Amino acid sequence: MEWKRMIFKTGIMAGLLGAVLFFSMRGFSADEGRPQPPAITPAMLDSLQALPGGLNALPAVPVPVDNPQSQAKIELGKKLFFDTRLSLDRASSCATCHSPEKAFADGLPRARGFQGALLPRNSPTVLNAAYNTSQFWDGRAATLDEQCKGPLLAPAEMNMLDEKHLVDRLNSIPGYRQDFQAIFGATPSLDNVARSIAAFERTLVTPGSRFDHYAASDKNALTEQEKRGMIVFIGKGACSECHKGANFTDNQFHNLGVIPAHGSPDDPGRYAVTKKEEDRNAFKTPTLRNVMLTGPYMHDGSIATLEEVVELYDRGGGDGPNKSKLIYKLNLTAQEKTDLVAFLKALNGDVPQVHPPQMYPEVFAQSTGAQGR
Amino acid sequence: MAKLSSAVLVVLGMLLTVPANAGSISGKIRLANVSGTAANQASGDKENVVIWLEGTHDSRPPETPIRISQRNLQFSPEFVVAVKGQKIEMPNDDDVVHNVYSFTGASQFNLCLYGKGEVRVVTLEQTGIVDVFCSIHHQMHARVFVVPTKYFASSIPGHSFTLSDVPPGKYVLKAWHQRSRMMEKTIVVPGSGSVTADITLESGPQWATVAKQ
Repeated sequence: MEWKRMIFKTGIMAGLLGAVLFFSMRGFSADEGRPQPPAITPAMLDSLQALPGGLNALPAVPVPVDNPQSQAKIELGKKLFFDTRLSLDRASSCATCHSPEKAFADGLPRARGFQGALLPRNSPTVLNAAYNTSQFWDGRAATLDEQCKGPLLAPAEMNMLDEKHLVDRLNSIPGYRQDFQAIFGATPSLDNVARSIAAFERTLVTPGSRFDHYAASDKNALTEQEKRGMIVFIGKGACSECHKGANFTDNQFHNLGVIPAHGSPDDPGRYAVTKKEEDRNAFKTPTLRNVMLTGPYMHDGSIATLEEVVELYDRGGGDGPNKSKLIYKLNLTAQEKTDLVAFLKALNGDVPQVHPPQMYPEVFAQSTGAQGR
Repeated sequence: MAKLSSAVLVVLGMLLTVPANAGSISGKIRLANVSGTAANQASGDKENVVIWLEGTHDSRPPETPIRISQRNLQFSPEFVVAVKGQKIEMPNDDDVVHNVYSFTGASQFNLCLYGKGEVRVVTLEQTGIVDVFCSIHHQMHARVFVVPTKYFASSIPGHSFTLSDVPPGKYVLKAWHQRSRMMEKTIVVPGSGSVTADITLESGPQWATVAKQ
């Protein structure tokens, strides 16, 4: 019996030795018995020469050469922005979905369009849209001047039938006729309406956030926790891979792999514009400025809170097809998540206080029917 | 006159850069009895074989620095061979910050936080393997193999290598491969011409022994 036990023991020893050899032969793999890596401190953030991704304080707003700003044009644009007569049923204006009381968004998951129709996407804020080089969730317009024509004529939105329809409406309002003549030396046109609204929207910018002060050199403008959150933003969270530049967006389109919730449409996203398969279900990186004020989040407003958005990114997005390589599991700690959200709150800027202006009265030709075209 | 002196300079330059008296070593690399596959794919270390000479008299590192960039949350390249004392530039090409460091033996360093467009430089004075990481992105791993001489080559199993412009003399040729035993053999380089030295790598003690050199 003794020899059997010997063989048994030898077998175990050989097995153990084999296991040890096997593991030692695997060489070094990440995180395996590695000492704690050097810590990152807020002081190290303060000493950075430049923030990554071109994150910076808001510069002066860019103005296209063919549409210079003027006070009269801005005032006209503001009137048009708030004027419900720019919709077929005279019920909605730009401000319906981009309300000054809701940080120039609407606070709804998905926008309500013509006569309450549920639209497929969340209303993005107009705040700082002037800095973006692509507009809409799918980037189908490059500039504000181009963008604001879309909802005016979209059947599901303001539903004006065509340019003539819009021009006739405006011509029935003497105040507008005079303004367009004074500013553009012409009668109202879709282009001039768009230029005016865009000029007004270029005033809806929000410098002055604590982040802006920090980026402009006041290293005390952020708390220690916010600085830790910013380190997560520009480091482990890699948020600044996409939320970059002064307006925290790369103006590009990414697929987070999120499968539409029950009842949400399967939205092709950027694919609708490019017809490229890699753009399917990809949406524009939204700005993060004033993000505390612009929930709910994502292109379909499917996430109510920033904390939940952070959770989505932490688990590496959804399981949908064609997910961006930039989306992967982050393994953030609870503290890192809290710090990150604290930093995002420091992106609230000085939101311009805008009140609906006095509207120009309309001159009806009663005999032809006021509710017609 | 000017023409003549520049011609002399050119000739002098040629004399300085290409030793009149130099040979080369070349050979094929073969794996024998080495089981398994590349030990750590993630390290980018895959199947590198490093071959170098010991016993050379010239230990000056090349003046051209080596570059390991941080790009797409990876080091690129993930495996480099550096000569002891050679500058290694580590630019950050990402839109996120990195904190590059190493805890390897006497080669420890911590480059602290830096962002896109910044380059930090390290010089490694200890031969052997140096593992480099980012303290923010734990998946990032590069490996620097520090050799004592500029007479080195890197290759992969099944391929060949050449060490050229080697001054004549007697050296120890060493070869390292992650999954094999360190190979070394004595080699004599003639005044001119080449010498063949095929390398057969066999399974055995691991790279860890190299790091202690």
